Amino acid sequence: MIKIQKRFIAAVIFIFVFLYACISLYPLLWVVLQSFKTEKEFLSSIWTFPSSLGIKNYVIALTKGNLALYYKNTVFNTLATVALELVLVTLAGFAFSKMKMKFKKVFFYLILINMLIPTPIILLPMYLQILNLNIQNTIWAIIFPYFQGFAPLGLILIKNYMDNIPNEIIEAAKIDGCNTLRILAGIIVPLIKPMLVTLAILGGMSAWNEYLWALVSISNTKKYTLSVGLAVLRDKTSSIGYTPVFAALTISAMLFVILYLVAQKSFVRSITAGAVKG
Amino acid sequence: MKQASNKGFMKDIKESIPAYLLILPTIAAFCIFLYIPFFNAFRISLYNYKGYGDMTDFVGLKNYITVLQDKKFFESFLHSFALIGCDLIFSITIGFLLSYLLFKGIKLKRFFNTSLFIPYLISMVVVGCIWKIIYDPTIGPINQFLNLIGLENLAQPWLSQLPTALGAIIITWIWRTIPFNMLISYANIMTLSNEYLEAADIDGATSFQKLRYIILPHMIPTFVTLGILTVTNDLRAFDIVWVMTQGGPGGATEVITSYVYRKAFSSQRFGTASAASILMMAVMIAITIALQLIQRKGEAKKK
Repeated sequence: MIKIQKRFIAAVIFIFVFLYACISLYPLLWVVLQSFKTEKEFLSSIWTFPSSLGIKNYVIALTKGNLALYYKNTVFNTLATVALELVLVTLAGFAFSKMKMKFKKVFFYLILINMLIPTPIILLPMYLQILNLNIQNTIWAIIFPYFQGFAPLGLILIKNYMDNIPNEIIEAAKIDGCNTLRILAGIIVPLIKPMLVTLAILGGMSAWNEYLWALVSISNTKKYTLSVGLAVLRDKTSSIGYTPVFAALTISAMLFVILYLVAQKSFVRSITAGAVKG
Repeated sequence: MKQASNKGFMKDIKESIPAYLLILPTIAAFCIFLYIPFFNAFRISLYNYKGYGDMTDFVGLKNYITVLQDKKFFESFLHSFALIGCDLIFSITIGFLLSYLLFKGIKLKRFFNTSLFIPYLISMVVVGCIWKIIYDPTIGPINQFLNLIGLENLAQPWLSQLPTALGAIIITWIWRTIPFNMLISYANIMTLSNEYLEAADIDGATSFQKLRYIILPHMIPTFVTLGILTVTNDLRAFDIVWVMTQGGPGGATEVITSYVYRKAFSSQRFGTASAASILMMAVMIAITIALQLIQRKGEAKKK
């Protein structure tokens, strides 16, 4: 009797989770499926499978839809942002964790305070600032604001990580005559590699997905990122059709899904680590 | 005596120079892209400014009064809070429930564990684009499905009518945030020591008793963290709203951030927009501090 009851409960639970999985994944699978259809096939029924795995929509999205350009821009922005974030956060993290610094707390909180300042308040004046500096549509107007948004979390994570490195290692290196930069590059960086991967994933994901600042700051259509370009493309369904838009959505979504499937453990670790409250 | 302490101070500063050099790029970036703009925001809010030319038309607190008299401003707050409320209740609950069921063990656990997280990896913009098509009145799967099963009269333009627009966006938002809450819950449920559960088993505790007396108490700090993250995140909500409805129809889905964006970049009222954003910041900081205090109190009680 109890066994049957247990089985019944297990079945109910399974159905519940399975239904949730359908709701959770169906929209994505649906988009991927439609992206292989011809426009005519799609308009005649949205429920059927594509008759062939044509890549025509992908070609249209990449060329006519300018997606190849947006993709390139986004990759470039993301890599540049992550590089800047890792270098600056490592330098600052080391100073905060291991070095003698007068007014350390003051400077630390000067950076953390950014967590309290909501995006909208800084949006306008930051926009005026990049106009002022005459760097609109350049990479600088992207990477520094992104770094500024990332720095508080990045700094907390890397400082905590470095705090666990024993001071003796650094003292020993100092006695051997290593200067600070040598210690950083030769000893610290190899030790904090897992944390650098975590920070790269967190910073990379947010730079890749960012929309609001890109929308505000980029006026040159040749510099559009995927986020901005997609929102534009989505409104052009009347001229290029629905199915190329599905292809564009698939292309934009795929990179991080694939990276996640390849390196699930690193992603889970990063996102869990990033969930520290401000 | 005073000189000696002064000397010590100078010596401290001197010894700190290498550290200062390492934080200099970060601090410089913050000065240029945060502190200076931040103080500018206060200045702009006192002027009638269109975003170009010199700031000359000083209007004092007029922008603040304009904002406080704008019904839309309060509505955008209301919508943001509705989003936060639903997210707190549904997203965290469902996220935890899923993590608990995965923790208890289920067939295809590995598949679910991997695949249920995928929506979180899709950017808000892509999610917004996808769901806008899903809600589409003619080609959208929701309405087509309703037609298919003979419920044509339930089919409606979900995003372009007042009663359903905000709800439709909130559902999309929850759909996107559940995976995150699930992942964090799962990571924390796994830190629960097996000994407790085994001891409870020996005592003959039921699943529900274990959930109620062991797992839930263990998860409370996690829920607090998720709650704080939800509030701070949702206050910044913009992407999905802007992609799906641009705050429409008739302001029915306007949230705090889209309100400021519209004021500044659609109507070119930088002064009013700055005043609005400063008022918003005051509310946000008050909420953040309140949350921190509640949390501290909770922690103190536990000790």
